[in-house]
Amino acid sequence: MNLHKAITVVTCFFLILGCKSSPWGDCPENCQSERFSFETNLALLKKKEKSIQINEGRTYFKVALISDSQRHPENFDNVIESINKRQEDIDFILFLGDLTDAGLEMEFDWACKILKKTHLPFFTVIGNHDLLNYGEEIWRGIFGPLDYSLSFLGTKFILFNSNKMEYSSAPNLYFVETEAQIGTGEILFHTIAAAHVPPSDSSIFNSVESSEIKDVFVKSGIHLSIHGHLHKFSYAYDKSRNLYQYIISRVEKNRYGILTVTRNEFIFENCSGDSCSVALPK
Amino acid sequence: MGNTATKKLVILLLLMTFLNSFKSFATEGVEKDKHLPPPGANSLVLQGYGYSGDIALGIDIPSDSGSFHFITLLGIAQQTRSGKRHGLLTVKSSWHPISPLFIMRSAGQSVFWEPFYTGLSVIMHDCVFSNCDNDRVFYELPDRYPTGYYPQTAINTALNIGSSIVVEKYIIYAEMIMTMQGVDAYYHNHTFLAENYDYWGLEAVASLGIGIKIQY
Repeated sequence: MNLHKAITVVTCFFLILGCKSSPWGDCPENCQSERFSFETNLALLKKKEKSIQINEGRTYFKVALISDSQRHPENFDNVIESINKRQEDIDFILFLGDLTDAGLEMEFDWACKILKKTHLPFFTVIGNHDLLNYGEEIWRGIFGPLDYSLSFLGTKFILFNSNKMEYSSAPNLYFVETEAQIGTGEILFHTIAAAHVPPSDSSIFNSVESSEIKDVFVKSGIHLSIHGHLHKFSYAYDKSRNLYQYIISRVEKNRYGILTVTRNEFIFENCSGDSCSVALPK
Repeated sequence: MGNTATKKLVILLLLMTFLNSFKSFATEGVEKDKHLPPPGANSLVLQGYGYSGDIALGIDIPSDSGSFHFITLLGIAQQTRSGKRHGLLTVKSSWHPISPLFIMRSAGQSVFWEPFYTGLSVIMHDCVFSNCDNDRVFYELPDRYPTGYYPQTAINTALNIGSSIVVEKYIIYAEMIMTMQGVDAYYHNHTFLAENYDYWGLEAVASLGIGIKIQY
């Protein structure tokens, strides 16, 4: 083998591995698809809603809730696999933030590789870790806006950025109030808020800020808020405001939640792998 | 210690034993060629990728024996989506346990192969030296956070593993670089990465750098 051939073979072998020029890249290869955008998933959701209204007539639905998959793509993959086994039963997925640990390109790449495996519509809220480095730019490029709303079978979800430490204008309570308003001809049974950091997290929100957020929720007709960030399942009920709060565990040990919404109630299931148990109502 | 950790430790021990045996085997009867470049000569370095930039220039200063090298690279990278550029400073140290092995002569020149070297790098975003366009790439944690809330985001440490071909005073090398986030991810999520990415999952966590050094 001559010298040139030897160098060519060695170089080509290594080139196949993939060359990244910086840890601070902003274009994860596996995220280059419209599949991840808010618009695509909203269209999928609307199609599903129409099909349910025409063919099934049911008024209840189930949402899988996943949060804080950072550093655990293997567990995240297992969770998606468990949810996929129930895709006849679960209507869509909400991801509640901290998809990454440092907002790095490679972390987004792993997540997109996993999310490609589900056919269910999915929606995301950004987490505090996702905002590090160039995470916000990458997030917007993949998923779309940080604050938005969607409706499904008479329930409105308001998804917003609550990462006050990383984003000086968050949370945008004016957005929450405005989106919660019922449009002409719109019939709503529930309005649910979803954001990464819960207003009850005293390390982020002081008591005045926390009260302000909860008051806006109540004023907006929101009686349930769902969050991640705290890495374990927990549930709280603010009796004075008639406001429920459900916090989802991180994906370690293949954990996720399922929220069933009926006309009259919310049912919370805490899941680990293929096994779920009703947390509330008791 | 679980089965997975035990397996990894056994593989590591076997690899170290193999490397030591290979070194002894490979140096037996090797032609001592006067064209083997002096081990302690400094080099100019030009590298592409490997987390040091689209292109990076620097110097390599080896120890007298050539067993340890200290490399500094200044690089520039352009983000694909935004088009913005940032600078990178990479400071590497590497350990070269195996002297280059003679493999052939071609066109009157001796070709040597250094099968393996390894080391650590510190890769710094130019935010370390100047204001960044956002405060989420930082060397010092912003005041609004309690101490230790986040690690420095403008600095990455990395593990390097490489191989090189030496022809006279020219050294062509290829290095696989993994940041510590990548090493951590590989350790904890090896099965997922290996099943979903090529090269036993290394494609997901590593970058390849290719470069040339010219001794002077």
